Amino acid sequence: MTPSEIARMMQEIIGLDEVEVDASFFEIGGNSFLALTLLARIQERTGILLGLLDVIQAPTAIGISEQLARHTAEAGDTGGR
Amino acid sequence: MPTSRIRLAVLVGMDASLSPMDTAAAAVGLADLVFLVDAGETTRHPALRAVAAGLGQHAVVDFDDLDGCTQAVRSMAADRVISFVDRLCGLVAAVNRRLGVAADQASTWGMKDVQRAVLGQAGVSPVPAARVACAAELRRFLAAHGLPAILKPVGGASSRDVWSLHDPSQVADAVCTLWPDGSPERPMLVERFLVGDTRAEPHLADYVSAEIFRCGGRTAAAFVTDRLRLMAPCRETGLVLPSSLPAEAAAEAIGTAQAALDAVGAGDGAFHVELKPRASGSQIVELNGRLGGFITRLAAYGAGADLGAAAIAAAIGRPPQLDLIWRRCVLVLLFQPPAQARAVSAVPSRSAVTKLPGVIAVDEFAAAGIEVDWRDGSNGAVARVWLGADSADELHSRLIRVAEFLTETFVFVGPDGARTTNWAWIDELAGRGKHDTQ
Repeated sequence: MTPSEIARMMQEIIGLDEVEVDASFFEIGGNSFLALTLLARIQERTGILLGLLDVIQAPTAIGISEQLARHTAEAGDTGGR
Repeated sequence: MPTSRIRLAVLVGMDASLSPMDTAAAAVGLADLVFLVDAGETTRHPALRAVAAGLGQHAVVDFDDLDGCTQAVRSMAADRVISFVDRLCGLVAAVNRRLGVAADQASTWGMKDVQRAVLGQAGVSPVPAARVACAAELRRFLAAHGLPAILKPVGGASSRDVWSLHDPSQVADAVCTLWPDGSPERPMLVERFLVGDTRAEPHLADYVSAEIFRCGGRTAAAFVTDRLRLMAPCRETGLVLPSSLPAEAAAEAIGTAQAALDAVGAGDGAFHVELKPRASGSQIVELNGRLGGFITRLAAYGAGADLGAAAIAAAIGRPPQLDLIWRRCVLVLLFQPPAQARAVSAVPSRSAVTKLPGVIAVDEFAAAGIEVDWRDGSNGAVARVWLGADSADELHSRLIRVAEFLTETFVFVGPDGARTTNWAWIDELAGRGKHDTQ
């Protein structure tokens, strides 16, 4: 997922007009409950379930996108074994 | 020789001063965490369990069952218990005592009346106070000690349901609301209204809070946080760091807080003490067995400090390395509705607030149409705005600008549907003459 797509998801979940891709989810109104919703929607889209601590460590749309890319790359490295 | 990491059981719940997620992040490298969630609270807030499950090993237990809680903690191989939820501090102390951990010897958490009595007996900040459960008991206290007085729930938190009694009509209002049938009901604590020395800065209240980190029965770190002027009646409106209290006064306040914690037998961990600083000696407002609300994030913004990690370190007996070097002045504004307000009929856009000078973050933004009630205390704030500046004066100016903007753009209506505003509070914050009030 691109940062823009994740930012749009954050926007919908928190109920904002816009979310910048470098905005911290927790500084624009997000909390742990909404983070669970975000992770669930990301999993629906990508099949990847990130953890709550992953979101704390990289709470922006850019950060989450990078984590997803890392997961995808690691899955590719293991060759699906 | 490698040492095994301590395993902490975290009792989680709503209204925590440090969320379960932030607690997990703060514990990295310090301790392994397991989480306990109350069965009753999980029924009302199912997401609590989901959050705990998302963070690691967890269990759902009945927090009213001390034996059950202790058994759960033991079965999860936890060494001790911690919580950042005010109403769970007593349970934490009780479980820790059963685990044989050096803990609070005489837990007064959640019992403001017992706490006040213990402090009085120890000669720490003696204040006339009494537990009252009906109008007759309240009137008896007031006849003996007079007005003004403060009336609050014995086990209250977040300034909910705090009544400021300055005249007979306010006493009558409180009696009518709390004990409408005249019969004994919920217990409240009444005490003489404490007055701290007036601060030079117009936006600052006459009370402060001291965060005390105790380890091995001694204070390992401590600092003072300033508070913004309350909004009537007695509602919290914000915090400011660093404190502008003179060093000597801050040291005296911290000393009084330490003496109070000694008096109640506080164990290791982080504690939040509210006081009214006075040249003649600070007076304790109350003690809390957990880190103060909002302060962790404020200290992170202002000094890059991790108070969550400091609290966990103290709780596991490791003196926290807390060296607060302030990079900027910061505050959090909890924007409260006027006392007469019953609903929010219009709100500004969050992005408009975010663009105001100095705004770091905006959260907890109310939606139009919600009902409001002054009795919600701190939780009744309709917006939470975090601000920063290079100096205290600049921060003050930015605060006024934000507060004015919010007062202009949030539309509150009273019971008659008419708009109600509180410009008097803004005028007090700004230290100027009276605004036109509506």
